[in-house]
Amino acid sequence: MSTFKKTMFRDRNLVAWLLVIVIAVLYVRPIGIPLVISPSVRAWYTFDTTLGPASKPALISVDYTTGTIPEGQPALTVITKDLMKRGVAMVFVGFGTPDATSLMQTVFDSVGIAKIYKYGVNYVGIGYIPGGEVAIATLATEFQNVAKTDAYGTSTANLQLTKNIKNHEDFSAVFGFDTTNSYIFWIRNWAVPYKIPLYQYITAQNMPQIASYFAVGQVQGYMGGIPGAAQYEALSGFLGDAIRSTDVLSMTHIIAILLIVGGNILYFTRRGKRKKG
Amino acid sequence: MLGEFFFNVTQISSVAAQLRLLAVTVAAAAMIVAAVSVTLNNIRNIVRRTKGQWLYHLWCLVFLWFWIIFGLYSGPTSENYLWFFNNILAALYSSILGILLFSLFMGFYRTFRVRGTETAILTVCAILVMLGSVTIGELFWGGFAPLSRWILAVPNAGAYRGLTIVMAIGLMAVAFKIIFGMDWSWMGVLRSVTEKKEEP
Repeated sequence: MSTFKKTMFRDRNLVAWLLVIVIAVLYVRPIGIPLVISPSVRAWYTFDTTLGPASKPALISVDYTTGTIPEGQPALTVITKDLMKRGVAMVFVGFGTPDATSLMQTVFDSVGIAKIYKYGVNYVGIGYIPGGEVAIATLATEFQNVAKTDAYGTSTANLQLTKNIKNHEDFSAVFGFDTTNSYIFWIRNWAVPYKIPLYQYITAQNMPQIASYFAVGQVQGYMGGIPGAAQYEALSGFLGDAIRSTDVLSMTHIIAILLIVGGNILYFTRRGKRKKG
Repeated sequence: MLGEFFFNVTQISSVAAQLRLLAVTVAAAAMIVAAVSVTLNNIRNIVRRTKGQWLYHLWCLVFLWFWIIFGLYSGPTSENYLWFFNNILAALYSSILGILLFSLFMGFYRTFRVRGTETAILTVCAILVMLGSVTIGELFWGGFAPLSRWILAVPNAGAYRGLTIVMAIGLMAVAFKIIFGMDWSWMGVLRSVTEKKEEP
């Protein structure tokens, strides 16, 4: 046990190398662990199937940070692709970080939205709007005053899709992609007062919080981290980065659990020896 | 804005709407203030040649203004800006968060050490939620996902709601203190009015 303790729990490099090897091997050769779809992701997908070209535009809020691109971007990508397939018009905004405009444009380029959709008619990129919760609240009642121009400097009053948008009533739903805790602002200022369907992507660490809002119907559906995005990819058929990362995520969690169990075994062994001594 | 919430009067709603728009404008201006503040702070450290730090401050200043000027010149949606954004900024940010993973793993077996009943409950719940959240848990036992969802939706949601309500009440108390002039700390005055009264 002492050798194991020395190598596994005292030599930090060994744990780090173990992680690096597991991550690298599984990225190169995924095992393909089967996915189980959670009710929160299924609810989101079921709602999306009800949308179509005749629906009101969907408001998409890009609120993940640059550091969380590996988590947030696969989710935004799969939703954009799925809504494009259904012919749903989309308005992209961002409140969490000034990088929202660049993050939005990166997704536009990666999904090739301009090849299928016409800018200003089927989709509009407003980009970052400063002001946090106040701006989100104001957008619900005075869209034209908060989002005066799009990310390219064109007045929203001159774009076919946005010129008639006045307030929350002109959107079919809000789809938030959040790693900055902005989801709570959407709940407080859109979902609860105006009963707008709210679907949220959040990081896995925020799942315990959003679960309480989902349980009472203030959030109609949510994706939690990479597993959530992978489930949506499996449902929609647009397989991407999220599904590729699920094996890695599963195995790293197993390592974490083994470390917790191993650490506790060592702790109790040491405590037993001390008592005997 | 409180008036707008409780009364349906057009004039009050109009004033509240103007205030909200003003707040959005102020938030935009605050970003300029932040950039100036960071610049001044860095210049101060460079001029003082703060030991072991001034080079980092210089580095920070160069990149801050590089991004500002480059962003203003080419725009955040231009091809050139996006190239720098995705290949430098995004890569660096993701790497920093990736490195945190290793620290997290080092901390796992120390944080979840079962020292008593509370830590035992925490550890068991953490393991169950972890196994329920990842796909491999389903391979071991089909009950992990429902159990994890139950933990999240019932005990966790209950505790979280309690915390949220308590926090909201606390925020209301702070708001009332500010509105009635009992607390000036938000203006940079360190001691509140009530504390001053207590002084001999």
